[in-house]
Amino acid sequence: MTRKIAITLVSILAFFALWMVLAALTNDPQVLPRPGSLLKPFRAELLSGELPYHLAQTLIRVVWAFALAMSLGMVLGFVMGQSERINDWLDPWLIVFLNLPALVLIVLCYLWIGLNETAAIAAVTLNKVPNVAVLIREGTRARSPDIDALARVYHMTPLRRLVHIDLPQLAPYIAAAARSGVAVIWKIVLVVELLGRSNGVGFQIHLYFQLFDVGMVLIYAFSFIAVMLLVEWGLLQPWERATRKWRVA
Amino acid sequence: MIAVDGLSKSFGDLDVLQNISLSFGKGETVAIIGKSGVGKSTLARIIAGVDKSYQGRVSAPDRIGYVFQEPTLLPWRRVLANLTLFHPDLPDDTAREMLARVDLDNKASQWPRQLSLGQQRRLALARAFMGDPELLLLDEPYTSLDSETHEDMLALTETLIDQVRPAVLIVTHNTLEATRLAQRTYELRGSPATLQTVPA
Repeated sequence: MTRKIAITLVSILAFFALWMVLAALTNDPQVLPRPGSLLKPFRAELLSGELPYHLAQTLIRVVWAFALAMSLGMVLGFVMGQSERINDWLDPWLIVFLNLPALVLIVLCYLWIGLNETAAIAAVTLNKVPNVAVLIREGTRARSPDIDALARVYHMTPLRRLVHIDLPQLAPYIAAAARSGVAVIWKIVLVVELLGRSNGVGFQIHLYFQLFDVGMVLIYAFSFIAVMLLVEWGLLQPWERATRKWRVA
Repeated sequence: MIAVDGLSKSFGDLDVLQNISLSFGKGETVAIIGKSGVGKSTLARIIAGVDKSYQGRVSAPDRIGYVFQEPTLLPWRRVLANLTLFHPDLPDDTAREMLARVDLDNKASQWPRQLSLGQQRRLALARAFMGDPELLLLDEPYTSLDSETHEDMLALTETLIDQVRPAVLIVTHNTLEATRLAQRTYELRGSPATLQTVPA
């Protein structure tokens, strides 16, 4: 564990060292400022309340889109994995949505629903639902037929079966969908904000792009990466460890 | 009373079982022997109500205990929960008592993967006998065991059958297991398989 932490720290330090070398080589703060030169504007943005406000706006959108995409994708994937007939009907739709570029869905949602919060969250959700559904469908198909038979022999109610038999078998697939989901969703949220919202990290990055302020673009990007790393280390990884406790006993 | 009358089963174009008739009651142990793949497990699954696509009539009680070829435990639940989860109406003490009867009372809080194969099979047996089943289905329950553990398992099964007195159907390819546990033995033979009495 200590070795892993040490490697992570050295790796992060190596990243900053590379950044400093590149900044020294370009020698143009407008193209690539040195890491140290970002501390002052970062502090000012933080104390003014601008940075926390825009981070919170983006985080709220990520949470909404994540919850909706996971819920819808899990139900859809589970139903498709259970019934070949339903899968035959819905699979072409799934393939269409999987191959539809994120940008197209975002633009269409804004055009059809309007430049509002509902359209923003719907666009992100629709982008992620197919990936979750595919993973959960494969997990549903991979369940043990003997354990399924066991549940039937002992007349388990559908709810008990879902909670005690199905969801534990799907846990690795749910974890994979959640982790890849968080990573993809926040990136799409930034595009959605860039195209049609008046707040959030994506909006701020767009603003500083127009001002050609690379430093502020980096401050907002790294701030949100830090938030997402906290979510990864503080929520997702502990939950994943809890679900596979029995594997490492 | 367990009654199977004129049962036939196909998987697509492949006829597996043909016109199987069989009946037995509480306190009786019946063995079905036959080569691997002949349809023994399919017959057990139909009687258990797991497979419902067949022709003919099958009548079996609701309270069934089933021991699969593999222990088929829930690896994500601890040993005690592997019993209580399938018998939510019974108190935990009944499950602990059952664990004691199969000599696993000191393993209640362990994970199934921490048990040996023999212990896992004993746990599967405990799950099947818990709640006093009216019908017990044993589908090749002793495969992959060393001779000593195999003998222990057979003795344990005999003891539990004597105590609970359910109707028992054991499916096996081992003639010695069949003659030791069962009063009547049948053989599934042919393709599609038919049921034939094996003389005592």
